Amino acid sequence: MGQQPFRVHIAEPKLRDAISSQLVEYLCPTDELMLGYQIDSPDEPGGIYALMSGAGAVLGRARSEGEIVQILMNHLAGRLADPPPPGYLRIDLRVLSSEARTVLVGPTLATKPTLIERSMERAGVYVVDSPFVDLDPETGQVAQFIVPGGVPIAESVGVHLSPTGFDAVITDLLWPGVYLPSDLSNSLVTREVARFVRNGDRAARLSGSRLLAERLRVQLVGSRHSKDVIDAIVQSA
Amino acid sequence: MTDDTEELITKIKNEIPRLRDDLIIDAGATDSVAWSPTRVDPIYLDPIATTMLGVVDGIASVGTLATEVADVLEISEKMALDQVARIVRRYGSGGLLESVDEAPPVEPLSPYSYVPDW
Repeated sequence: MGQQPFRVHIAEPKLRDAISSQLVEYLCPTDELMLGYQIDSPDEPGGIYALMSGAGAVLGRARSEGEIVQILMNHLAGRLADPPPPGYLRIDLRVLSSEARTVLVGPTLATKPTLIERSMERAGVYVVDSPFVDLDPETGQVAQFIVPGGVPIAESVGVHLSPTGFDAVITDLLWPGVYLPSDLSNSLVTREVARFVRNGDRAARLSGSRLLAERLRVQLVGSRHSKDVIDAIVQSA
Repeated sequence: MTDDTEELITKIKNEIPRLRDDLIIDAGATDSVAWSPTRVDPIYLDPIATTMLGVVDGIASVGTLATEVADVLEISEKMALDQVARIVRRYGSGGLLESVDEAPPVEPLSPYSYVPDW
């Protein structure tokens, strides 16, 4: 389980109590902790909640307490989850799933969960509530794991994950500032996937990413706008 | 060409690139991915940069490599030098190079050191 204690700063008492009750078994009685996350509450009713990193980066925004708690839980899951099974790659990509396809998307999309999830769900595409996914690069199978307060990943989306592997939507949003050529080779996809793998040594990460790259059907979206990316994902799913 | 430009070209030609021996290389059909222990992320190498991995031997200077490339590809030496220099810079930015040594300076030839054959 979690290796390092850290602090979550929540000024609003009601929200702090709600989150504390969900995380009671993980709470530590010490003040000597680094600030890991902070939730900023809106100044006015109906405003936006924001989840901030300790460094001040906005990790997510939401209009309701429930949504911002879920976003925080997703991020905490990355710290609390057991290591992946042997041979699996833990990848910091989020999984979208419909009955037809399973899609990996990158962290930029994942930081706008409210916008993404509402648009996706209207189109029958569901966001799996985890900030990462454990994949067997040989088979494309997802490892089962449970997020705090959640359910096993496959059950949480209510559909069967693709037994034949994953599609990936690669966009400028996925890798900000990187303009990918229209003709993507497996090596290029391997490099991009390897950047998001979080376990194993460099050789294992690269060889696993190569296996996965050979399974991925990559789609480019030549736009930096979230709406265009969402449209492309919905159409492809 | 200004003296500064000429000096820079001479400096680049004399550099001897040497690849680190602890790189992880994942070779594809024509291109590849290379990962240096000094970098957080791997880098992508296009087909030319991939081919050059087998040519950069830590002995030949950039100038020598450019001459060989010019011969093989039948392109001008300037174009070859541009390409080799670009690839060496790419290797350097990806942390693939041990260090870039400079070859011992070549003594400039005296304008009187050769006899015209007329």
